[in-house]
Amino acid sequence: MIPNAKVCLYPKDTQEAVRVLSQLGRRALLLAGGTSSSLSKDPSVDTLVDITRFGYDSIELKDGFWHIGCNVRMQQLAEHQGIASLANSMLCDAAASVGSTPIRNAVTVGGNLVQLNRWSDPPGAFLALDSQVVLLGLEGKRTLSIDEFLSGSRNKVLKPGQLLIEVKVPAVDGRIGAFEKFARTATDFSIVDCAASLDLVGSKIRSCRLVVTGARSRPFRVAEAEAHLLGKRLSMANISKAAQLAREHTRAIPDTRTSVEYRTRMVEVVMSSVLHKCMTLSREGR
Amino acid sequence: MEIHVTINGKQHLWQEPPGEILLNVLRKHGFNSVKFGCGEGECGACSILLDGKSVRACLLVAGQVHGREIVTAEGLGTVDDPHPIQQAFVDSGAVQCGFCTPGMVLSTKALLDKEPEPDRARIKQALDGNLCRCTGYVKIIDAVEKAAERMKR
Repeated sequence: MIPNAKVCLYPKDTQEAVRVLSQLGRRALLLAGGTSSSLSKDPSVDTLVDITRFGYDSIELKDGFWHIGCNVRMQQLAEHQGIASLANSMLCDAAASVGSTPIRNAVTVGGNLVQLNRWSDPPGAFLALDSQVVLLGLEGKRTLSIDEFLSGSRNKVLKPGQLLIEVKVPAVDGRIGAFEKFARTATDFSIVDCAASLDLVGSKIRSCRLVVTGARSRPFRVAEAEAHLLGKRLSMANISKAAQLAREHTRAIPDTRTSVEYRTRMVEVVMSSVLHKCMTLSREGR
Repeated sequence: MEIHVTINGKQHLWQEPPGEILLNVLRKHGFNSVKFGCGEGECGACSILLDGKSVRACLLVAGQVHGREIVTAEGLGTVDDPHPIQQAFVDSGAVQCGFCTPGMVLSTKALLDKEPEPDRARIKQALDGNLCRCTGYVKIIDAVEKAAERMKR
């Protein structure tokens, strides 16, 4: 419950939303799915801003990108046929691994990316797919790479009053991809997720993005493991080495679910598993 | 703040703080089928249908439902005239303490409205957000199959 909220506003378009958020500053609390915001106890908030009424709730293919609106719900993303055709449905798998059905019916793509909890699953898949995010503020639109969005300091990347309105995923054919969540139960927060997307020429890897999620506060690419695979085949030995490098270059954090040691060990196991999945997919001719 | 919301087909006008948790507001206004279980989105006892989709009333605030449509178990059927899903739960012995049942029934409705003939795997998936601590789920899944069968006719 947000104790001192007196009013809830429903901006009809993104410009109005940005204007309201900029004017009110810390007095405003943005609501999308509400699964995190509804639990806020911030006493300085007197105005709620429900941004789910201004559109941006669809998934469209144009200009070589899948444009995913910030108000698209996780369940919608998980079930989308077009997104399923990208990199062996890796992004759908990531969306489907968020909580349970009623949670996915509420959580939005934008909220999940902005909230960016340790256990948020889809941002890692967006990172593996070389996505971009579109931010809107009073000064206009700004598009930046997901790498920049995830690695920059939160307040600098997303300034107060700015909205994340869209994620753009390159609609590239032929990438092989896999996503896997490791958690105590199907609906629990993840202990570790791994995501991989690979571009093969013949049987050699031309480029790849290997992402670990949940081991630290934000998803990250493992450059050393990626470098190891470049120009090589997806063999058992190469997969073992890449997974080992992923473990060695992850400085995991502990929480109530698991220790640093266990989480670190699981990075290798889960990375190995997604790469094996990729190997199988590449042999099946996708 | 004035909140206009349609619940079980009827228009309601609430005077409520927009930041109040929806679950508390629904119960205050007499929709007692919506249960307070965990209050943090784990158990599904407070499931409602919001614009036809199952969501948690404990993770929404009242302001978010302004202008929207809610269905609770009260809107499905009555003791004398139960909805086929409710009857199927009774006939299958899918109810023990009953605390999770309204949520289970609503998740079932959301599923069957979209997919009239789900298999058992799909049923499990659709009910993944509803915990039952009594039955062990087998009879609940039986009930959903039975309801699907009966609603087809």
